Formats: sequence, structure tokens, C-alpha cells
Amino acid sequence: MESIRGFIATWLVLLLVCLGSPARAESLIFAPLPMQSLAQTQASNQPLTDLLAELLDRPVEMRLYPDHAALLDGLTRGEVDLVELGPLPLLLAKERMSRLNEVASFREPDGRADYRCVVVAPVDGIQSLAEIERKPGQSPVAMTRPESTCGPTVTFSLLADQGLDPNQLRGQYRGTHDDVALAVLRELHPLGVIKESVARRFFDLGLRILASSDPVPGFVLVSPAGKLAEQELGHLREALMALDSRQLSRLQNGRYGFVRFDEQLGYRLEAMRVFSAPYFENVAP
Amino acid sequence: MSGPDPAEVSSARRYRLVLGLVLGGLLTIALTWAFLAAERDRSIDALMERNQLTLSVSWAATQALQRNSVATYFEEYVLNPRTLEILQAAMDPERIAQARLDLFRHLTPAYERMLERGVRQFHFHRPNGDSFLRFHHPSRFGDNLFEMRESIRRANTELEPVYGFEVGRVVSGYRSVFPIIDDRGVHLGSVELSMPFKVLLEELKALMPAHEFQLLLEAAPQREILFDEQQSLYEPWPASDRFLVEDPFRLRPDSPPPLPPAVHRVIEVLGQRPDPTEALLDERQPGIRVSLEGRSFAVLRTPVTDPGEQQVGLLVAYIEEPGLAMIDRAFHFRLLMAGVSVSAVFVMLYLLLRLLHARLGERNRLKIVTDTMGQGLYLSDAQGRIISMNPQACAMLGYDEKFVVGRSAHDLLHTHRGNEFLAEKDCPVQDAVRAGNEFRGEAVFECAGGRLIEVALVSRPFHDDSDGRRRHAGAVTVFEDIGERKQAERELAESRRRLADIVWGAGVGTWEWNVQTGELRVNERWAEIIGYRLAELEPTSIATWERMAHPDDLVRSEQALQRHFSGKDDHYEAELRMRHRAGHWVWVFDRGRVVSRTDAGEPEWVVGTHLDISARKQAERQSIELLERFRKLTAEMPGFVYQFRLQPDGAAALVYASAGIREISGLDPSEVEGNAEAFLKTIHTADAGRVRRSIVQSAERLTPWYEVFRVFHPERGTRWVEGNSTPDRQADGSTIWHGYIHDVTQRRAAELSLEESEAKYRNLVENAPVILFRSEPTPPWRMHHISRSVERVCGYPPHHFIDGSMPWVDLVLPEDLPALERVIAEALAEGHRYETEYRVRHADGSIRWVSEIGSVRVVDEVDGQKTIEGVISDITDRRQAELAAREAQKLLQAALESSPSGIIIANASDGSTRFSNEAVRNWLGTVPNLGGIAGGGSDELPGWQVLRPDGTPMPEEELPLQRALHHGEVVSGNEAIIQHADGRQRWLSISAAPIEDEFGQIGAGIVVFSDISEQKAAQAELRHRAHYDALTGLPNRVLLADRLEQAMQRARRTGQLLAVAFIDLDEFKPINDIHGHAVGDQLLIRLSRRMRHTLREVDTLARLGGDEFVAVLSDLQVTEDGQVLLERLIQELSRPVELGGLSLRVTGSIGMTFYPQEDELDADQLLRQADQAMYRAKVNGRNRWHFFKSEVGLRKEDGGAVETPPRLF
Repeated sequence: MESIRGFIATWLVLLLVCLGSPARAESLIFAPLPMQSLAQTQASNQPLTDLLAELLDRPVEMRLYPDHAALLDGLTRGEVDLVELGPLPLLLAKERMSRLNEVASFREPDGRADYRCVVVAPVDGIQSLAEIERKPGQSPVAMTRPESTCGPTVTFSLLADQGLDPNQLRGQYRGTHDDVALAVLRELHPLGVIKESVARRFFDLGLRILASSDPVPGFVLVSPAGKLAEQELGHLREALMALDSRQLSRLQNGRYGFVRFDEQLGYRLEAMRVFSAPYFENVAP
Repeated sequence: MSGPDPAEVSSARRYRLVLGLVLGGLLTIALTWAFLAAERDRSIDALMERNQLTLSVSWAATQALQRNSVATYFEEYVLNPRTLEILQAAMDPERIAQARLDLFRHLTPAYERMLERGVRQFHFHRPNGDSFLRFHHPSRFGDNLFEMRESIRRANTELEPVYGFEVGRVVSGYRSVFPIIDDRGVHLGSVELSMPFKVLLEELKALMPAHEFQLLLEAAPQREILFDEQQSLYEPWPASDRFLVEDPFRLRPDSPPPLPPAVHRVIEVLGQRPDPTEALLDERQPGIRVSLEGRSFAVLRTPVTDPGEQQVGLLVAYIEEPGLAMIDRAFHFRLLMAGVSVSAVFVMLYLLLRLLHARLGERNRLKIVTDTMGQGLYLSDAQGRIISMNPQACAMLGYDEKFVVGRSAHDLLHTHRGNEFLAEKDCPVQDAVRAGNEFRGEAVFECAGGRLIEVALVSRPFHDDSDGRRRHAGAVTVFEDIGERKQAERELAESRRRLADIVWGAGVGTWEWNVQTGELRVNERWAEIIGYRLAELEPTSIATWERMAHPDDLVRSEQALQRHFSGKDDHYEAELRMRHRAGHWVWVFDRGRVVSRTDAGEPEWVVGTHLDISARKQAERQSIELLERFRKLTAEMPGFVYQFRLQPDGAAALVYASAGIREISGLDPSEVEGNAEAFLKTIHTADAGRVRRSIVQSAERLTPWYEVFRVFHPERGTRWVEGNSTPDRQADGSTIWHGYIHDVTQRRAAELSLEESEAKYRNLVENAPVILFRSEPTPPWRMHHISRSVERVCGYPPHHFIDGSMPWVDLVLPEDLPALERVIAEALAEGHRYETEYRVRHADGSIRWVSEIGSVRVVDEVDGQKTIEGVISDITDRRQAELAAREAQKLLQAALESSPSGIIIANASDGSTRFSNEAVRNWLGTVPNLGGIAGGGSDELPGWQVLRPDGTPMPEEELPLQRALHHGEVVSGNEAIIQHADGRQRWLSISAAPIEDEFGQIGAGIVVFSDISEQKAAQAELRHRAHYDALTGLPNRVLLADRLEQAMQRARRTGQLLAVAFIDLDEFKPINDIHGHAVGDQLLIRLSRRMRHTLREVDTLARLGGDEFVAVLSDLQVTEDGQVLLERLIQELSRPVELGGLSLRVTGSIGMTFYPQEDELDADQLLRQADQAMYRAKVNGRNRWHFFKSEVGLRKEDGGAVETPPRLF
């Protein structure tokens, strides 16, 4: 009898292990924001992908999307479990999907949870926005993408704040923030609007900031409802807040740490979007 | 003590021999394998070396090709005056930043072109090794590269181009580093152009198309220098983490294409080796061979070195090499052939030795056989001298073998007292063997001590053929003692003699017949039966028998014999006739049995007896003749006679039945004899029990048996039979009936027909659906007869009416009774038929309608007594149906009268109105003869006219009722207008359908119409709303599109100009914001009126929404006509509008375009052109108009500017 009981107990334990293991082994899909080329995006997000797997104790695979629109489509179709979204993409995603869980906000290099979009020009180009009105016939403003926060949403609002008439503004999409910076440096456009941290990388090559927007919310790590259990979400959120310097030093994207998501920061961006929406047609593809 | 068994010794020796042979063979094969394997390895090495050499040469050629390409780029783009000028400026620390920016701007187009041609990295360095500008990563510069990039150090120190494959901080590639020295000899730094491995690979693939290539980089140095963000682009080589593979997931567009799945499996196999890199790095090995799923792959590699000749990795080539498999196959074939040859030699050797061994064994076995056999055996030589004698012969003869060897067998054994063959030359045994024949026979041998024994012996000669001639060499003689057998034969002969005496005494003829020889032996009695003496018949043979026997019986006898011979019968037996000497035939009972068979199993001797049975046969024949006469007699009788026996235990048997039973039951007499059940089973199941019981009763009481019953004949069906017989008790307690059964079917059928006819009539009368009656002629009409159906109609059984307990008059309802009495009284008086309907009360209280048809019959002419006869039928259902139909008609009429729709039913013959409801009368104010809306024209409906929906008069043949009456059409929901003479009009929805009579002819038509005037008015209102702007009443966008299309068609048709003006009010939004939407709406209404009044009737003014309007100006002669209208519009729009004390002023910006143009275009394109021109008017300062510049060259003041893509400022 003793041996039979032992056998049954062992069998039950094995059964439970077998039943439990597939769920634990199920891979999660993480999609980073396509801010750079695919290769660079992949390179800068691989350490973060590995860290997420470590924190969740589950395999995590990275899936790359060529642009913001494709990323949003993938998110809507339920293809991804964790996604990095800029503030505007987050706003757009919320309009498409009723339930999104914000896990944490990425810290910017200065440690803040928000960032600014800046108007840039070459060091040997126009020195102030006031020169713009004196030079009719200039090429349009270089912008990133329609769904990018520093795209038309912030651009029209930012330039209007600087006293420029949005009705008179024309723009052109160039792609990534790097693409915008390089296009401006090459004098293909007199101005461009990109993220401040990107602009700073090109300072030494001759890029200058002429104006800055009000702060917009930083990038956010998001999980669609139902993809992660509440317990897992809570655990991941706390773990990201508590990353130590050793863990952060392994990261590229995310190496400045994470802070709790603040919904209040999004209201300003919504106001900018309402203001800029009528002028979107002024931007050429 | 015993020595080793010779068999065991022999076996051990054989095992040692086999073992030795096997070991020798294996050793030979092993040596052969070693030789062939060494040969195979040399062939594989040679093949791999050839492949390896091809790879090395191709790789060197590929690198040389790339060097030439990048040298061209260097000369074209770097040694360019402008580039050198910028680099010279960069030598000044104050200008270095601007120089970098200038260089970036200057060479970015060139870099984009080089990218298209495969160059991946374009990197300028300062003379001190600092990175100056990476075009592939422009934001990263300033880091010093001398320490980690040997090529850059050498190029800037030795001032010579450096080439080689090198790992970098971003990616690895084939680098070409050129020192930059200007015309004055100033060293300005260096530039590096790098090709990705993919480009080199494409060149290499062109030279070695069948190979797959992979670049393996030494992991440790590569990891050390990579930028952090690039680390994840490298993965360990699956076979060993000593090497890295660059971008295995092809995230970069310039990464090499993926390797085929087979190569991945080759790498997996490599990884399973203890040290996969050992063979790769061992330069002495020409390549690595990998066998996978029956395929052979060669893995080749060549070192990849950096410009400092340091090995940074390996270029690995994978190829499926069929030559390897061929070498393997050749090796295996040779090995197989060698193995087969060696094996064949050793097998032959083994077989030879085994043959020798077999000979020895055979001799041993022969000796054992002769020593142990039960017969005596001796061998003798050609002279008849004994060579050897086996122990059994020695024992039988009493001699020792040593004694007999060398003696003459004839002299020793055959010569004895009483021996006839005294001389050897006369010995039959010796004679036979010397002649080369076998002797087989019996003889007498003399034993030691003179004792004689009878023997059966076989002596067979053997010969010596060794010299090619056949010579008699001796004989083998085998013998056995047969003394006991001979004694038994003698005793048997005596026994046979005694038996023959017994047979003679029994008077039975006997015979013995040798089937094989035909010999026949018979005794004296056999001959006496047929009137002969035995001596007279001798010599006897089977022919004697065949001659005497009746030819017809011989056949039967032969068949009986064959059955016995084949084993089917235990013995032979036949009754047959033999001809007597006196000429008549004698019957004999012939019986016999096989007593011996040949060696082959064939019957040999058969013995038997003949018994004279002529007297018995005579008696049998007389009995048969008597029976036959009886059968003929009974066969002529109708039916059959029979004898039936019933045993006390109940067993029954039909002892005899004459042939007539076949006619009765279909059974043959032979089938029923002794078997009563066969006949009893033919008796009908309904009668069988009764018949069996009557038989038992007859036996018990010994009373005559009589029954009429049915039997089943298989062909004639069921037959009625009548049987009678008398029982007779037997001494054994059984009962025998002798009786007669014959067919009475026809008689019985007549009887049944009569019974059935009577039953049918009774059934008809009793179950008729009507009541048949005969009654007294006056009330209470007592019934003499009344059929059973009266109970169904009235609820009382017939006898109640016949016995007077229920007079018919009591059933009739009192209110109907007088009429009934009157009708019947009249019929009685006049003697005719009468017919009437009245009600009766059913026993359950319900009322039933009945119809009575009767007539008066005089039953007694003398006293004039009469009765009434007739039928009464229940007509309640019919009366109820008639009532229901009348009620339904009333209901329908009421429904039609109350319908709000007008309904008219008209006759088809003359069109007269059969019915019209109140709605028609109220609506038309009269009862129409034939409604005009229904047909017959308007003449019948004065004052009204029917029109089509388009207002034209509707011809008569289109009128709905006409179509229904004349064509059978069902018309549904036709819309028409009916117009009164005073001008009133109403819309009607008319439906009509034909009404067919019972013969399918159209007898009438119905028309239904309803007033849909209000509905039509609502539809018109909806249409208006869909096409007109609710605020201004102007056409909306939908109607505009329609009008514009029409105007364009007209313009194309007439060749006149069409203008489209897009009008947008300036500064309208502030008025809305300040004064509210109500004021804004009023302003829009006023301005739209002004514009409408300004335009011509042929023009269309539409509101698109908000403050946007479009005017379509048709039939213009010249563009100036449009300009005039535009200026008037501008003027009208700019005039102040007074609204409730407010004086509001807005202006308008108008864009105009014309049609047709050189290119065909649609309405949307025209509107877009006008919109763009309006936008231009806005940009140009508002309150103005602007013509769209079209291909026809329309160009006007203020609007004459050429359209260009929108610009910012």
C-alpha cells in the first residue's frame, strides 16, 4: 500500500508539472517603437527583450514593425503582448482599443518621464524662426510620420506657439527622427521637428535647436488587456521600477530607467492634437 | 577404461579445421580492407584538396575584384577637388566642425550611389587616426581607431593603401583604406570603403555557384571592439561559440541570404563532434567531410585575414560533393569483391576437405549397417570366396567370420546332403551373378554341424570400373531364415482342403477367381446348379462364367464387383441369372469377397458362393403380378383407396394408398406408404385438428369414420375431399381402416357460393348508408322492416321500430310533422312517389336533417292493403354546409362594404357592375355602371378621366380591369391619376384580378383601388429634401453633381463654354462665432438669394455646405462672359447685409474653371480645379476671383499666376 500511494503521489506531481509547464513556456511578443532603422531598432531593444523575459520568467520574442502605422495595426490585430508606444501612438491605440494597460513609462536621458520635441536647423542655416517669414518660398518643414508625436501633431502646435501661422505651414514626411535630422543637415529642409534626445546626438555634426515644445509624455510600455495576468502585470511594473544600476547598464533602450505612468501628461498632447488636426492635409507624404 | 569416441575426435578435428579456415579468411579480408581504406583516404584527400584549392583561388580573385572597384570610387569621389578642399579645411581646428558638415553634405549623394552598388561603409579618418565622419553612422565620430584598427594605422603611417577583411565597431567587411594626400603632398588623413560580405559572396557565388558560404568571425576580438548597440546583431556559430555569425536573422538588408536547410543540418552535425573547430583550424586537413542522410558534404574553409595578416575568421564553404559518395561506393565495391574472392577460395578448400571426410564416414556407416542388420550378409570375390560375413550371418550359420573368410561360399553353404547342385558351375546363384544379374530365390544352406536351414536369398554382383573396363569383382549376398514361414504355408494348404469338404456338404457352389489372371476355380455344386458336371466345364476360367451368365445381369454384377473392389462395399453380392443346360434361366444368389491383393493394391483372389434362388424368385414374381392388377384397378377410381394403421402408442402409418392420392394431394403413393404424416400435413390447418380427433374417436369406438375436409394440392391449390372408412381392431392392439377418399371440391364450391350470396345481400342491406324501410302507410308508420343503419342516424336499434316500442312519428320534430303527413297522404291518395326533407331527433338529443323518398305499394289487391317502401338518408352535413355558405357570403359582403379601399366587381360579359362597396359610392358620388378606373372608358363615369403617372391619358387597353377581364392578368399596385373635370386630381393605387367560374372561364373581374395622394405628396417632399439644401433652398451637392453632368453634356453637344465657379465666403466664421449661428444662417440665406438673382436662369447655384457655394454657368460664348458674372457676384457678396439692426459685411473668394479642356476630365476634376483656383484667390488676398490655369491657356489678370505645388511661404 505504501508503495502504491507513493506511486500515485509521484504520478500526480508529474501530471501537474506537465500540465503547468506549457503555460509557463508560452512566448510573449514584444514590439519596440520603430524609431530608427530596423537593424538599429533591433540592436537597441534586444537587451530590453532579454530583461523582460528574465523579469517575467517567460520567453519573450521581439517583433519589428517598419513604422508606427504597421505597429498600431499589429497591436489592434492582437499580434503583440507588450509594446513600446510613443505618446501619440498611445493616444491612437486607445481610440482603437478600449482596454490597454500602461505598465511603465521610459525615462528620458535627463531622468524625466516626459520629453520635448524640438525645431532643428543646420548650424549654418536659419538662426531664428523669425527669419522664416522673411524668406518666402522655403521648402516645407521636415516631419517624421503622421502617427509620430513629434510629427504634425506637435509641429503645428509648436510653430503656432512660436508665432507662425499654421495655415501658411507646409510639411513633408521623412521617416525616422534620424532621417529628419540628416535631411535638415543636408539642407533639404530649412527646419525639422524631432525628439530632443535625437537632436542632441547630431549636435556635433552641426544641428541646432531653434525652439522646444511643451513637454509631452514619455514613451510607455503597454500591454493589451488580457495578454498578461493581473499578477504578472503588477510584478512586471514593480520590477521595472526597481531595476538596479547593473541591470540598467545592460540596456540600450530603457537604460535610463522607468517610472510609473502618469495619465495627466496625456491631456496636453490631446489638446495639441485637436489644434493641429485641421492642418494635417498641409503635409505631403 | 575406454578410449576417445572416434566420432568426437573427428568432430573436434573438423571444428579446428573450420576455425582455422575462418581465421585465415578474416585475416586476409582485414589486410585487404586496410589496403583499400588507405587507397580511399588518399582519393578523398585529393578530392578535398582540389575543392580547397578552388576555394582559395576564388576567394583571392574575389578580393582582387573588390579592390579594383573601391579604388575607382576613391579616385572619383575622394580625390575630387571639392573633397580635398574640405579636408584641407578640416586640418584647421577652428574649421573642423564646419568642414565635417560640408563633407557630409558634399558626399552624401555619392554615398547614396555607392550604397546602391554594394558599399556599406564610407568612413573618413584624420591623420592621427580619429574618426572624422562615418557616413553610415554620422552621429558617431571623434573616437581614435589606431589601436583597434590596424588597417587605419598602417594606411596613415605607411601612406599606402591597405586591403583586407576586418571587423569593425559597427559591422565587419572587406575594407579598403586609402591614405589621402593632396596635390601638395599633404597627408589629409584616410578614407575607408567597406564592402559587406554579401557583396563578396555574390562574386564568389558567380565563381563557385554550387557552394554555400558562411563567414565565421573569431568571437573574442569581435566582441571586444563592437559598439554596445551592435552586439546583439551577432550570434554564436551553432557548431561552436568560438566563432560569431553576423546578422544571422538578416535584420540588415545587406546581410547574405539564408543558408539552405541541408547546410544548417551539416552545421548541426559538425557541432556534435567533440571539438568542431579542431578540424576547421587544422591546416593539414584539406577539408571536413560530413555524411548526412545518405548525402556527402564537403566543408571547406579558407582563413580570412585582416590587413595585418592576422586571422580574424574563416570563410567556410559547404557543398554536397558527389565525388565522395563515388569514392565510397568504389571502396565498398572493391571490398566486397575481395571479400567474395577470399571467401570463395576458403569455401572451396573447406568443401574439398569435407568430401574426404564424408568418404571415411560412409565406410564407417556401411560397416555399422551390416553389423546391425537382421539378415545374414556376406561378400564374395569374383571366384566366389567369402571376403567378409556379418555377425548375423555368423550367428545364423554357426560359423566364426575368421573361419569363413577365404572359403568358397558355394562349397561351404550349398553343398550338403540332398543338395541337387553339387558342382559350383551348376550353381544358379553363381551363374546369375557372374552373368551380371541379380539372383533372387530360395535355397537350403548347411550350417556348422550339418544342420540345414531354408533361406530366401538375394545375391547382387558388383563390378570394378577402375581401369575403364567393367569387370565382375564379386557379389553381395543377403539371406534370411524362412523355415517358419514355409511350415505355416503347409498348414494352410491342409486347412483349405477341410473347408472345401464343408462347402460341398452345404450345397453351395463355390468359386475362386484370380482377377489378375482370369483363372476361375469352381466346385462340383457350382456346375450342378446349371445342370453340368464339373468335368464337363473344365478347364474353367472367367470366360466360363461370362458365357453362362445372363448378359443383362453381367452389367449389374460388374458394378457390384467394382463397388466392392473400390472399398465402398464390404463384399460383393448380386442376384443374377445363369443359363441352365436345359435352356431355361436359373436364378443364383452370387456373393463373394476379395481375399488377397497384389503389391500394388489391386484385387487378386476373390472367393465366393452361388446359391440357387430360382424358387423364391418365382414366388416373388407371382406376388408382383397380383399387386399390379390391384393397382390398375384402383387407378381407375376417382379418389383413392387406402389402408391406414394406428398403433396403440399413437404412431400412424398409411400402409397402402392407391395412385388416386396423387390427384388428391399431389403426393406419389410411394411417398406416403408407411408414412401417414406426409398425407396428414397436406390437410388444411383449419381442418387438421378435427380430422385427427375424429380418427382417434373412430378407433376408440370402432365406429365408421367420415369427414369432409380440405387438403392442399401443390398445383391445384386447396381441394375439398370427403373420406369414409371402417375400422378393424388387430390382435396387436392396432387399428386398421380400409377406406376411400375422393374430391368434392365442386360440390362444396356450389354450397359455399350460395351461403356467400345470401350473406352479401344481408350485409348490403344492413350496412347501407341510407335507411331502407317498409312501413304502414299511416302514422305512426310502424315499421315492418327497417335496415340496421337506422341506429346510426337515429340512435335506436331496428327492433325498437319493428316491435312498436319506438314509433317513427315520435322522432319527427313537431313543427315538421304536419308537412310530412301531408306529403305522404297525397302520395297515398294519388299513388305516386314522394320526396321530402324534415328533421328528426337523435337518441342523444341532437337534431338531424333527413331526406325521405318513398312510394306506395299495394300488398293485397283484394282488400287494397298498402305499405310504404323507401329510403331515408341523413342530409345533416349538406344542410349545415349550405347554411355556412350563406353566412360566409354575408360576412364577405360586410367586409367588402366596410373596406376603406374602393372595390368593384364587374361582369365580364357586358361590363355591368355586379358589386360596388360604400367607399366607391362615397368617393365617386354614384354607383358606377362600370368604373372609369376599372375600364369601359370614361363615358360610364362622367366627369372623371384616368391619367398615367406622367399625366397623359391612359388608353383603354391599359386599364387594370380590362387587362384582368380580357387577358386574365393579375395587376397589382398600378399607380394612376384620376382627374375630375373641375381640375381636381387624386393619385390612386389600383389592383385588379380576374374571377374564374367553375369551368375556368373568366366570368367577372374585381378591381380594388385606394387613394395614395398623401403618400405621393410625402414622397415628393422627401425627394426635394434629398436634392436641395434645407437652409437656402438651393440645390445641394447631389443635385449639383447631376446638373453639372448635364451641363457638361450640353457643352460637348453645343460646343459652348461651361464655367464652374467655386465660391467661399471670407471671414464668415467670425460672424458665426460672434453673433451666433442663427445670424450666420440668415446671412447665408440672404447672400444665396443675392447670388441667385445675379445669375441667369440657365445657371445653377448650389450650396456645398458651410459657406461654400458652386455656380455652374452654362452656354457661355467666351470666357469673358464668365468673368462678367464673377465680378457681379463679387460685388453682390461684398455689399453689406442688414439683419435686425446689424449691418454685416463679408466678401467672397471665387475660383473658376472652364469646360471643355484639351484633356477630357470629369465633374469631380472640374470641381477640384475650381477649388484650387479659389484657394489661390484666398492666398492672393481674398475678395477676388481667380481662373484655374488650364491647358487651353486661360490666363487672366489677378488670376494669371501659374499654379505650382503648395509651398510654405
